Amino acid sequence: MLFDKNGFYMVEQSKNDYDFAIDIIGGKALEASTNPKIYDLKEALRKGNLFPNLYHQYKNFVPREIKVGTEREKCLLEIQELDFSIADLNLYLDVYPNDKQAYEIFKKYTEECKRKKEYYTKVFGPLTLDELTDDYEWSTGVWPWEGSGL
Amino acid sequence: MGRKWFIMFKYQKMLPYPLSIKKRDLKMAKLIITQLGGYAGELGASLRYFSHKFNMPDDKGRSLLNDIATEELGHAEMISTMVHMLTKDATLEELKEAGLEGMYTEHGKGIYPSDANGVPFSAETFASTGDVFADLSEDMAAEQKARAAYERLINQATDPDLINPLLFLRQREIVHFNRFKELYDFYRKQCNEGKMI
Repeated sequence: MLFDKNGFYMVEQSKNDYDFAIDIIGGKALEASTNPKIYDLKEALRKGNLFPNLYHQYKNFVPREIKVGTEREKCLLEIQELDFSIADLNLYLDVYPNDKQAYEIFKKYTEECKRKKEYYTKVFGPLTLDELTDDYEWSTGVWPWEGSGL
Repeated sequence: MGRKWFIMFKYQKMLPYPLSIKKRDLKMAKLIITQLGGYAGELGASLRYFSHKFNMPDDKGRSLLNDIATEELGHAEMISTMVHMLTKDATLEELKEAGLEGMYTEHGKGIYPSDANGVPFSAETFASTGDVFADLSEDMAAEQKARAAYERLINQATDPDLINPLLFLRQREIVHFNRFKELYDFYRKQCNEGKMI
């Protein structure tokens, strides 16, 4: 595997910088949108997209695996991954509310996310005001723009 | 006893995509701020869809615009955080060297929604026409403009810790564009069949 100077995997470069895969960028994915395949949680967040039929790679940039250090960050990343896939399913279901299969995955992820958030709250403090702790810890934890920014 | 809520929007102490930018890059900070306050920025995107949703004719439109608007607000927070991380601990000398003395004079190291040339955010960057097709066409164009903007930023960035979140945000624009397009095509079909609107 080749890497470019920024540490990105090199894939075959398009001859034309503006080879935009118009079917995706131009919005022709409509026909393929019902019962779409989905990426797993990690790949979805990494690529910024749950649905392979809507993914469009920019030039030779392959999004890298997201790396985290501490236990807190690891736990938070799992929540971010679930939250992301839930949000992308949410948009899909807005347009295709009758896709039962998609809603089943939505429900599964939402339940899992709820459990993970409860655990996170217990160990690291609340992510939202909904989650209660013994003392008022809402204002004391790390804010997203501080420190490692997770 | 039920819990009383006094507010509608709730903040979650978590960014939509993890940011860990350790390398200071004042030049990129100066450019990236446009995705907060520029014509293709996240703030304008969010306000645009929050405005347009009131005129959507059915559940699909109301929910899609409301939910994308909410997501964009999280992206605005991401952009602000990126600028904050890129400028943190910079000295006045470094700011001057990067051509940021104007911004320093006006805002210190505070985050201010403006474009890459320092022009403040303006609601004049979008319209709300009260016409479903006009508004949805604008929403689609907005996503394309933002995609192009992210591509220009990616072209100029060198740090993978910065490029990866930019790639993430670019891809979100593509997904949003396609969802808007699907909605637009659905309405057009409904309209042609004389069903609604």
